[in-house]
Amino acid sequence: MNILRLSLFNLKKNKKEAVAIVFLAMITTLMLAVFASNISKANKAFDDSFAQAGSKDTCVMIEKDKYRDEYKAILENDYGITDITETEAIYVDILDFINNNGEDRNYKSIFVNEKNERRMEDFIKADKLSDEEVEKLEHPVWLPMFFRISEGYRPGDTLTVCKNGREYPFTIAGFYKTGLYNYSGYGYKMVISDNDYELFKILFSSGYDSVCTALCFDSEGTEYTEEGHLGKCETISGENIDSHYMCDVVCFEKTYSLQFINMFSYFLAFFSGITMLSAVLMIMNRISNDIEDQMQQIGVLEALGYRSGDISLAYVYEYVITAGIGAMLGIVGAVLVSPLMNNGIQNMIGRPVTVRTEEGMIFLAGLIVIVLVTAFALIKAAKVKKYPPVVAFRKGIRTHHFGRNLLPLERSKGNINTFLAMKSLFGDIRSAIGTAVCITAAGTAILFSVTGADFFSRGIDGLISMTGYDIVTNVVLQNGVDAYEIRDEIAGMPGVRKALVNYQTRYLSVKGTEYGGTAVIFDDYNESENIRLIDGRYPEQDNEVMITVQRKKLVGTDIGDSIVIKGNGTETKYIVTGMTSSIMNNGTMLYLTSEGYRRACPDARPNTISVYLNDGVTMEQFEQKLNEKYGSSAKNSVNAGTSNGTLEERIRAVADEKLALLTSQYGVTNIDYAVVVDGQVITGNSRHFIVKEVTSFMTLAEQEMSGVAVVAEYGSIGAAVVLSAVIAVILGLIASSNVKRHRRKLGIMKSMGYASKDLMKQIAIKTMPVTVISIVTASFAAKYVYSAFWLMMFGTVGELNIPLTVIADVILIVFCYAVTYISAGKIREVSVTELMTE
Amino acid sequence: MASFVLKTEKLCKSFSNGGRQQHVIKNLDLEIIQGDFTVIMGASGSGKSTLLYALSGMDKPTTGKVFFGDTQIQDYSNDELAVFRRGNCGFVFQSIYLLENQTILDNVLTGALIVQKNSPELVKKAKDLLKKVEIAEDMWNKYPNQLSGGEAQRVGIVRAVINDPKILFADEPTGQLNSASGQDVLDIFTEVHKNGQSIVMVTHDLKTALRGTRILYLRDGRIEGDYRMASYGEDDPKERRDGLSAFLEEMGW
Repeated sequence: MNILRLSLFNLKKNKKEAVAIVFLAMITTLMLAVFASNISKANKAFDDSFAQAGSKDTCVMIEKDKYRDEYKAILENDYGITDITETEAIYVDILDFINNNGEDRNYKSIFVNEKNERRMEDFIKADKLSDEEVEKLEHPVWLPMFFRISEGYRPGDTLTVCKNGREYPFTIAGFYKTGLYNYSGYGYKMVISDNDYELFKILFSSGYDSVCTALCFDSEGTEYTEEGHLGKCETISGENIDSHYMCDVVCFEKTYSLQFINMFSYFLAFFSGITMLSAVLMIMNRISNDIEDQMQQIGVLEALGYRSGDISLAYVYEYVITAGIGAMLGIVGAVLVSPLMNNGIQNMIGRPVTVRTEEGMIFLAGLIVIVLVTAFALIKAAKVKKYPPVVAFRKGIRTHHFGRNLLPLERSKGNINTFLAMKSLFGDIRSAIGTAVCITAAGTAILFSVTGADFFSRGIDGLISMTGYDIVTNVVLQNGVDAYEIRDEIAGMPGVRKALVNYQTRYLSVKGTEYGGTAVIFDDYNESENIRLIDGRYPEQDNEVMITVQRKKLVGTDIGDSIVIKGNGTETKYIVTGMTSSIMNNGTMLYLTSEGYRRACPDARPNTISVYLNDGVTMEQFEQKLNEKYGSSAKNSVNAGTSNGTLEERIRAVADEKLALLTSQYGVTNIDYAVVVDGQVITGNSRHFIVKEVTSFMTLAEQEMSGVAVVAEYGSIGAAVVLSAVIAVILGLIASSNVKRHRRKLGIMKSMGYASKDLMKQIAIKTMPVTVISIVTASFAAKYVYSAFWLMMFGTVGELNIPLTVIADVILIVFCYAVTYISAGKIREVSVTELMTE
Repeated sequence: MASFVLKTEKLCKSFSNGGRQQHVIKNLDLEIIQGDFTVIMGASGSGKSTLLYALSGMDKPTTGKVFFGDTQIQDYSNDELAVFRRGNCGFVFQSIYLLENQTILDNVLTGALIVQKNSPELVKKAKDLLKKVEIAEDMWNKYPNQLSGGEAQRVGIVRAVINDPKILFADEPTGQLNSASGQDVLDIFTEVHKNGQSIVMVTHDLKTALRGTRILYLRDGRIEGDYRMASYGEDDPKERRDGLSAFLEEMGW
C-alpha cells in the first residue's frame, strides 16, 4: 500500500508527464483497438452479408450460344458438385447510366428478372418503396445494396440505362442483399421486370455483351477451378470459349472488396505500432531518469527497510496506472468510433455491416498496451536493485563525471548557447539515442502519411498514376479506315499532344492460372507515360511480355520465365522480360508489343488512336473538334435527330442512323444503300463514317477510385496530425524532463545571468542534431516502408515524393524545434531563489 | 560624499505561506556604498538571504524600489534581470553550485562567455584567476566532484569575479567549509575587496563578518544596526573583534 502511495505521490508531482503518457497509451490503444476490431469486422460483415443473401459461392456465366449441357455435367461428374442451379442472365461489360442527378455513371452490369434472381439467391429486399408504389412502376429496378450504401441512391430515384444512343429510364424500387455481383470488377446484378428483361435480351446480345447461361453452385471444398473447368469445357466442345466464360467466386469478390479496408487497417496497425514503440521508449527513458533523479530518495527508502523490489514496483505502478488510464480511454474511444468505422466499412465494401462491435478485440488491444508497458517498466525499474543504500546516498557513481571533456569552452566559437547545447548533447548521448529512436519511428510514420496524403489529395490523379496504363482518349475507327493517316491528322489537331496507333485491347487468359489480364500494347514502351519499368526491360520482340509485380506475387512468375497466353483461338508462349506495377484489373495486366499481341489475337487490327491531350483539354472539348473534322462518330449517330430538313435530308439522316447502328454495334463493316422515292434514287454508304466511337479510360477510373482517394486522403492527413501530436508530446516530455532533471544546473546558469530564453534555446538546439539525423533517417525509412506498403497492398511500387519529403523534413525539424523550445518554457518557473533555498 | 552602488526604498518582500502572508522584509531603506564590504548579519529567519536576493536581482521585491546606480530594477522581467545580473553581479553561494558536468575551467568560462566572446585574453584571465586562488593547472580539466569543498568554493569565487562585476554577492560562502578552507576563501574575498570590489555578504559567522567594513544587523526584516569598521588588516585585530562583538551583543546576537 505504501508503495502505491509512493507511486501516486510521484504521479501527482509529475502531472504533465503523466498526462502525456496517458495520451500516448490512449492513442496506441485506440489505433490498435480500431485495427483489431475492424480487420475481423470487415471480414465478418462480408461473410454475414453474403450468408444473408442465400447465395451460392460461385457463379459461372457462359454465353448462351456457346453453352452446352456437358459443361454442367463436368461440374457434377468431375468436381462432384451436386447442387447446381441453372438460370439465365444478361452480361453487359461496361454500361453507361445517368443517375438521378443527371450525372454519367458506368457500371459493369448483370441483368436478371425476378424469377432468375430467386434461382440464384433469396432476393431479400432491404430498403424499398411500398408494394403499392412498386406495383405502379412501369420500369422498376432492384439494385444491390452497394448502390444504397456506397452510391447514395434512394428508393424512387431514377437510373437511366443508355444504349445505342437511346435512354431506358428505370425507377429504383428498392435494394436487395446480394452475395455475388456486388463489386465493380465482376459487375452489379440488377433485377428488372420480365418485359424489360426481354427487351434487354435483344439489346445486349452482341460484342462483349451477351445473354448467358448462369450456373450457380458452391465450389468451396471441391477441386473446382475456373481454369480447370474451362479447359475441360473446351476439350469436350473443341471450341475456344475463353472469352465467353465469366466466373465470379466469393473469395475473389471478398479479397477485392476488402482490399481498401485492409489497407486502412494495416495503416492503423502500423501507426499504432509506431506510437507504441515511441511510448515504450519514452517510458523506459523516463523511468531511467526518474531513478537517477530520485537516487537519494531511493537510498533513504532502502535505509528505512524498503526492498529494492518494492521500490521498483513503485515505478512500475506509476506507469501501469498511467498506461491503464490511457488504455481505458483508448478503449472508450474505440467503442465510440465503432459506429463511424461501421459506416466506413459499409461504404467501402458496399454491404451492410450488421455484426456487433468486437468488444473482446478492443479490450484485448487495451490489455496488450498495458502488458507491454508493464513488461518494459519492470525491465527498466529493475535497475533500482543495482543501488544499495550507500551508493544511492551518493547519488550513484554514474552521476559523477570523470570522462573526457568533450568540446571544452576554451575552444568555443560563435554563440555560447549553441556551444553549450552541443556540449550538453555529447554529455548525454545515451538519452539522445533514445530520443533519436522515438523521433525516427514517429517521423517515418509522419513522412509516410504526408506522402500518402499528398498522393491521395491529388484525387484520382494520384491513383491513376499507379494504374500502369496510359490515361488516353481512345478514338476507335471504323473498319477499313487507315489508322496511320488518321493518327497523323489527329496529332496535328489543337489540344493534342501526341497520338499513337493502337489496338482495341482484350482480356487475355494465361494458361495454368486463373489470373488473366488486359493486354496493353506498345511497339516502343518508351513512348508510354504511365508504365514504369521496375525490373528487367520492356518487351521488344513478338515473343516477349512484361508482367506486373502483382502477378509475380500471385502466381510466382518471374523475369526469364515463360507464360502461355490464350488469345483468340491461340495458345502462344512468351518470355517474361520485365516487371512493372499496376493497380488496375487486379494488377495483372499483360504488356506486349503489337506484333506480340497479333500472335495471340491474329484477327486484331490497329483500329484505335490513343490520343494524349494537353493539360486542361477535356475529352468533351476534343470530341467536339473531332466531330467538326470527321463528323459524328457512328455511335453518336445512332439516335441523331431526323425531324428537320428536306425530305431527302431526312431520308439520308434516317439511313445514316441505321448505318451507324449496324457498323457500331453489330460489327457490319461496309454498307451501301439505295432508296427510290417518287422516282428519285437516293444512294449512300457507310464509308463516310470515320470514327466508330470515342472513349476515355478516365471516366471509369474516376468513378471507381475517387471515393477511396477521398477517404485515403483524410485518413492520411488525420494520421499525420495524430502522429505530429505524438511527436509533440514526446518532445514536450523530453524538454520538460530536461528542465526537471537539470533544474539545479539551470538555476545556477540563471544566477550567472543566462536568461530563460538562452536556456530554452540551449535545450531546443540540443535536440536539433538528434532531430535532423532522425528525420533524415526517417526519410529513408519512409521510402522503404512506403514502397513495401504499396507492394503489400496493391502489388505496385509506391514512391516517396522527394521534393515534398524534403519540405516535410524541414517543417518537421522546425516543428520539433518549436515544440521543444516552447516545452522548455518550464525553465521560466525555475527561480534562482527557489534553487538557492531548495 | 561616497556614492552608492545600490539603494533600496521601502523595500518589502512577502511570501504566501498556506494562504497567510509572511512579511520577511519590511519597508527597508538601504544604501550600499561603492567599494564597501558590506556584511549582513542576523538571526536565522531574520531575512538576510531574502534581502541579498532582492538586492541582487535574483528575486523581485513585493513592493518598494531597488536602484542599481540610477537604474531601477524592481520592475524588470525575469529575463531582463538575468541580463542585468550577467553584467553587474557576481555570486558566491553557500552550496557552491558548480556545474557538475563541466570541468573547472569550463565552469569559469560558462559565466564569462554569456557576457563576452571567447578570446585568448579571456581564457588567460580565467586561468590567471584560478592560479591566483591556488587551483593548480592539473585541476582545471577536472570535474567539481573531484575537488574538495574549499577548492570548489575558490573556483566559485573565480567564476563570480571573472566578469568584473560591480558588486559581488556572497551567501554564507564558508558555511560548508572547514575552518582552514574557510579562512582561505575569506582571504580571497579580502584581497578582492582591496582591489576595489564592492561586496555584499550574508553570514552568521563572526570570523567571516570581521572581513567586512560595514555590518548591517537585520531583525524581523528591518535593519536594527549599522556598524562600520576599517578595511581588514588596517586596524588592530583585537580591537576590531571586540568592537564587532560589542555591536553584535548590543543587537542581541
